[in-house]
Amino acid sequence: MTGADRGYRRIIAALDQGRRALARARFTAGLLRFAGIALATGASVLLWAVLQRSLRFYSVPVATAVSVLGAGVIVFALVRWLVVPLVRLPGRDRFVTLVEEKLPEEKNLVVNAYQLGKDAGPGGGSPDLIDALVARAAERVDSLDLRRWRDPAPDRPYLWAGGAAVAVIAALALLSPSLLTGALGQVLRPSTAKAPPVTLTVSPGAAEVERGEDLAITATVEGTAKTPELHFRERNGEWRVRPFAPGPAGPAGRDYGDYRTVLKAVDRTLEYRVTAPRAASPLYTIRVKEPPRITGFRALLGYPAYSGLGSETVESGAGDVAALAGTDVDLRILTNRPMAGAFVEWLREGEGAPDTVAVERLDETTWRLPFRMSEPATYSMILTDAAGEERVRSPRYRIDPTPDRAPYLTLHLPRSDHDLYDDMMEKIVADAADDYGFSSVRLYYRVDDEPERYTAFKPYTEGQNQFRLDTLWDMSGIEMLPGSVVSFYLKVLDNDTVNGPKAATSEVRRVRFPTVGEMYKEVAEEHRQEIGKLSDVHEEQAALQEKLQKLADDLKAGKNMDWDARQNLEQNLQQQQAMEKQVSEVLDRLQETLNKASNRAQMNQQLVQKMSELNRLLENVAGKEMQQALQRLSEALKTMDKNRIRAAMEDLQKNREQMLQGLDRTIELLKQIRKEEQVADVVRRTEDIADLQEQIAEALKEMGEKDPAENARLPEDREKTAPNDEGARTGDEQQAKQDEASRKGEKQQAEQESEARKAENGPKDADEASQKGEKQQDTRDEASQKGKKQQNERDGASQEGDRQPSGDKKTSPEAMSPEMKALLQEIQDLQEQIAGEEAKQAEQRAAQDKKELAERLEKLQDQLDRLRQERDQEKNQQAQKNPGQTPKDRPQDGQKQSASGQQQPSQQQGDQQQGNRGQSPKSEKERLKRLAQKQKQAKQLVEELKRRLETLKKLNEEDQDLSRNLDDMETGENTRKMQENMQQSGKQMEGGKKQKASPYAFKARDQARQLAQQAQKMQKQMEDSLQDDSIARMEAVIRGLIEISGSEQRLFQSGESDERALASRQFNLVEVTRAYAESLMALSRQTFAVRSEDSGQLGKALQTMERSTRFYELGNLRRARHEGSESSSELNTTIVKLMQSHQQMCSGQSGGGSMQKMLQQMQGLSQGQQQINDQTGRMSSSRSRNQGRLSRSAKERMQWLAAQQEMIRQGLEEVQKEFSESRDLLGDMQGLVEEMKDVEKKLGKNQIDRKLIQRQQQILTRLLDAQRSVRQQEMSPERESRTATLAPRTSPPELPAELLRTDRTLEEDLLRGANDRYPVQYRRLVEDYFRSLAKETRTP
Amino acid sequence: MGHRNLKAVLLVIGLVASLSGAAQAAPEGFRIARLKYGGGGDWYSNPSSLPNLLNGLKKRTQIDVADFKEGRVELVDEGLFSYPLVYMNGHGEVRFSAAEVERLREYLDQGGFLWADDNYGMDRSFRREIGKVFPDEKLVDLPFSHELFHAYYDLPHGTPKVHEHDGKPAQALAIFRKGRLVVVYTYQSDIGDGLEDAAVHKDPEEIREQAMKFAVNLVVYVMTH
Repeated sequence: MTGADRGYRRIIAALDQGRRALARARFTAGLLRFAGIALATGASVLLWAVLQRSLRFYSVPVATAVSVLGAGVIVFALVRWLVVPLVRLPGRDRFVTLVEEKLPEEKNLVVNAYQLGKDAGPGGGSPDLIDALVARAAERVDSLDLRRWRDPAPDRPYLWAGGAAVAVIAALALLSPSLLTGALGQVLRPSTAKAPPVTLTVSPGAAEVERGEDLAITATVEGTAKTPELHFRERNGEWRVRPFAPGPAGPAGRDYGDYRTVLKAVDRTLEYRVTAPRAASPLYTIRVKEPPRITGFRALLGYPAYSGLGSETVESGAGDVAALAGTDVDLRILTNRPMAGAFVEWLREGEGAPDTVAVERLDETTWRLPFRMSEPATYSMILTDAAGEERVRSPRYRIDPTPDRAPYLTLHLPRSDHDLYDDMMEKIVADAADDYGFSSVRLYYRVDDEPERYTAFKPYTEGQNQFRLDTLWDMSGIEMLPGSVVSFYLKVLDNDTVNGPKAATSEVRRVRFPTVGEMYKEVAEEHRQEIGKLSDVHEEQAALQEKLQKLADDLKAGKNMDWDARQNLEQNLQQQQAMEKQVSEVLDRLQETLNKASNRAQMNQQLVQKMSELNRLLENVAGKEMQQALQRLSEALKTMDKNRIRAAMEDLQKNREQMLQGLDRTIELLKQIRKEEQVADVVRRTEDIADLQEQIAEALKEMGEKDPAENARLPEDREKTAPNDEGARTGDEQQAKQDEASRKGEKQQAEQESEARKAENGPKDADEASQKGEKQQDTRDEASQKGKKQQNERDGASQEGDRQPSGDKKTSPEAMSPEMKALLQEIQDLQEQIAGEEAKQAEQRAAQDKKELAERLEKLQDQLDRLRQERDQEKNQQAQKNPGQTPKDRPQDGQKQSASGQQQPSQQQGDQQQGNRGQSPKSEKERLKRLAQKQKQAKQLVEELKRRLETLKKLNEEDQDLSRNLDDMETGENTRKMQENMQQSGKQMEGGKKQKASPYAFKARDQARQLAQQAQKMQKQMEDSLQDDSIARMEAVIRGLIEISGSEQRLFQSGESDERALASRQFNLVEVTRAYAESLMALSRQTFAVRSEDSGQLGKALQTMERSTRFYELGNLRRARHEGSESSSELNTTIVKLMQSHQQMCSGQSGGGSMQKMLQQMQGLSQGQQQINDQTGRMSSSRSRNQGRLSRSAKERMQWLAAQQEMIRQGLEEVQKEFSESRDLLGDMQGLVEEMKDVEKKLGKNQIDRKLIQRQQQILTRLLDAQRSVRQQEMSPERESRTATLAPRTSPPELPAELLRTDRTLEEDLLRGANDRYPVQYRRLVEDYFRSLAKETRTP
Repeated sequence: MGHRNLKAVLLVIGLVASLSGAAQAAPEGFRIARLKYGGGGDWYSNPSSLPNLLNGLKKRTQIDVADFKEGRVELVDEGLFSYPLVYMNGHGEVRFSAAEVERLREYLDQGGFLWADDNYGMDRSFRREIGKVFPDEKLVDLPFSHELFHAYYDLPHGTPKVHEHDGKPAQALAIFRKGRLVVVYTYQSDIGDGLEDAAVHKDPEEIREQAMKFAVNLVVYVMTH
């Protein structure tokens, strides 16, 4: 290779390097220019698009054109400044020239070299030159370093434009990327240059709300400025539309908005969607869920055991709890959905701030709050959510502990304070109610000022919440004196063991134990008043009669019936009616008085009988005849018929005359009764005094016998006294006792004599007296036997002395007297016999025998008891005579007694009695004090008696015998001494000296008895005197009438024809008869024995005799004799009637004999029943004490009671049989008989229970009722009815319309009670009640 | 709960208890009670009359009779209100206490009925006592046209007269309260005697039949009014 070649090649290489550098430079420059233009164009297009979008100018063609234009510009720029320069890159030849231009000094050196190098070969030029030239050119080219060839620098505007475009785009990107993005999208895809899409964002979309909550819905809208709408509906319901309101972001922009609306109180599931122009949200569902709440309460109530209610579950929507205080409540609170937590705010009543109490979770929806009902409170339940936020707060519920109410008690009987009935039984009827039962029923009573005591009943079973106490309270066991007042009341306690039992107390009733004397006084006073009233009526009646007479006279005298006369007559009639009413009122009061009196068995039954007869008499005084006469006159006055009026007036006058006579008789008889009552009052007062003094004396005696201190002195006395003396002293005491028994016997003898005198007056009294006499004789015999027995004992005591063995009298037969031993032996034998009999006897026979044996045993036991008692008394009395023994001497004495074998048992007995009776010295002192009070009371009774005697004396001055007797009683020696002894007795007792008081008390007792006998004698004398007088007067009338009858007979049978003489004789007979009629009338004023029919019959005879006289005067002998004959017959009839009355007077009866007998028998039966009841009651108590078991002896006693009950029943059947004709008096006794049979059976089977006792009480009540009824009713002639004839009568007038008018209203105010909060038991009852009411209302 | 409310509650309890008690104890059907009154006027008179009446009702009418035994009540008894008809009879004094007066008024005003049958002798006291119960009401004589005399049997001549005492006509006297007949007082008629067993008074059959008819009418009237 040549140099040229090498150079050339060097040139070519350099040129190629240069060319490559040029290409690179051109590419870079083109790229920069292109970039600048492209960026500027793109930015411009973008800006245009932004502008367009901002101006909301949407046009696809324009956008397309702009985009195409932009793209064209960019492509042009690409081609022009990037492709073309590269495509048009100069070749070597051209480039050589470009290089040559860079070497202007060389003058084509390079071109030439290049050419030479290119054309080198066999032709032309020097090779060296060429070589040189080429070398040179190569050097020169190399010096140019074509590898670093640079094109001319790019234009700055392009760079600026590109930079600006970048800045603009960056700014847009920063300011509104969305806009930039949108614009870019539009530029790149011009087809999107239409309206932008609306976007809708809804919150909360699908949601769940609590029922009733509000739900806010927000909607964010982009792409439009229009307000969206809310469309909602219930599921499948109709759509409803609600516009949105601007949301919290403020007013909407041109294509953007934030909106909000609220659905209020959503309570059901809803669907909704939000719509905007060109957009709609999906359909959302709003589900409703229940808010947390308390759905209910369930209270498990555990009532206090005493209430007997057990436990109970009560469910309620409210949390109020009302239940019995003390109830354990387990309260369950139920919620509708699980809650995170719960607690209670508990506020006690009266406190300011509540306590927070945790509640226990039982399961997801049940909470538990246990508490006890003790005090009122309120509480509120709070439920919290998981965040501890309070979600639910219940209202405040009440806790109302219902107190166990105090029981209710209503005392029905007795209704008021009253005097004690003679049966000494007080009927107590009371109703009590309590909510949960009772624990005690007691009857507290107090006699005068004595300490309060009580008796208990149990008319209820455990848990029974109401009962009726219906019982007869036997007051016979209560020590009372005449005039004592027993105050009593019932008290029931309920069974509240939580707060303690509460009590209800009835009102206090007072029952006075009246003296019968007071009763007489009261009755007499009432009768005094009625006498006054009847006297007034009598006077007015007489005045009316006088006026009527005047009117009748006027009428007779031919005077016309003018207006004045008519007025007077009518006035007369009215006054008569008024008087009838007055009489009727008096009659009512008399009936009341009679009722009171007949309720008292102690009242003289004859007197009661008289009172009853008097009432009947007065009833007849204002009887139907008078009414009819008044009616006739009234009707006659209407007719103005003079004759009829005159006849009616005469009729009225006649009736009034009879009424006057009747009134007169009634008044006089009432006066007589009153006098008898006053005397009876005196008698009873003396008897009361005697009874009271008897009680005092007996009490003193008993105190002396039972005094342990006195007994304690016995041994010492025995030591000081020789045995024989002791026996003598005992004998003295026995003698004293015998004397006393003898005195008793004398008294009974006297009473018997008195009764015997009564017996002389009639069969009834004779029977009575006979019975009484027998009884008294028995008593006297008994007393006599007692005396003998005591005498025997005394002898025995004297003989046996110290030989009597020691030991307990009940356990040591050696301590007994031979008589007692024998008795005991007999008892044992009998008991063995009974036991044997029980084993082998057959039914009926065995029962009968057993009964008899039991009775014998009973009697023997009584006898034995009596003997024991007497022996003890004897020893005590002995002890009284041996003062000075001190208690410390007792052991020594005891030893001595053991030796003597006599006093030790007595001492034990004394101590035992002291324990039983609680007679401490203190109580003995109190008892003595009370006795002193009694003595004082007796003295007061004597003073009062004297005042009564004085009054009675003044009232009966005309009755000299009575007056003298009264005076004797008032001022007599016996009375004076009695008062002195009473004074002394009281004084000693007040000083605590019972020994000294005793003789005075006994003397006073004897004197009181004497006074009572004196009074009885006086009463008897008065009655006898009255009866004798009546009988004598009756006999005189009868004798006179017999004579007149004979004279009359002789007169009409005589053959005389002298009319005048005959008329004169007949007239005389009439006058005499009239005198006897007046005498009879006068007699009728002092005795009921004269019946109205007697005087009526005599009046009839008198009228016939008068007619006979008139016929004689008229000369009509035939008629006159006929009338005479008639009158004689009528007189005879009168005589027969009067003789019957006379006979009745002599027998002392006034029609009530059978009633008296019946009464007596019934009284006996009821007394017997009462004894059975008492004993059954005691047996029942005894059985209760023995835990329901009956001892052998108790069973025997029951058999005895059954036999007694049978006797009572048989007695009742006999009474029924005997008085079968007076069946109505007793009523339905057959039921009672059956009842008794049942009781007998139960007693026989030893079935003793509360029911049996109640039945016995009912039997007794019924027996007593029957007696009262008999006393009050007795048979009256009118009650003996006869079968009526079926004669029709005219109908009364129709009823006035206003009477039948109904104006009933429905009363519903009970419903008001529904608002009260009651415990569940009450509520149930109340609801039942309303339900039953509703049922009743529906019933047609 | 106030005191008054408590009383009301206890009253309600008492009433409910008595109603329920009566419902438990009382047999189904019509029952009649004899009034036990105070005063001693033989409240137990004519013992066979009411059983006979109950028997008559059973045989003659459709009335369902509980049993043939009469009930016995006092006015203060709690069982009083369980009887639609209370019968009283007697010879003599009738006395009502203040409490009984109140109770009888309450019973009658609340639907009860009293048939007082004078067995001769109780007229005066009954009029006085019933006057205390209804001081403003008068006893009126029922006309023969009154339904009582035609309720079941036709009694054109009014109250039958069974026994003769003092010549007065038999009467059915009545007390009305707010248009309702509450008391019938048979006076001078002795219906109770007429209802008794034939052997007791030995009255003719036709007389006894009249008495029974009247009594049946009265019961039917009471049960239907």
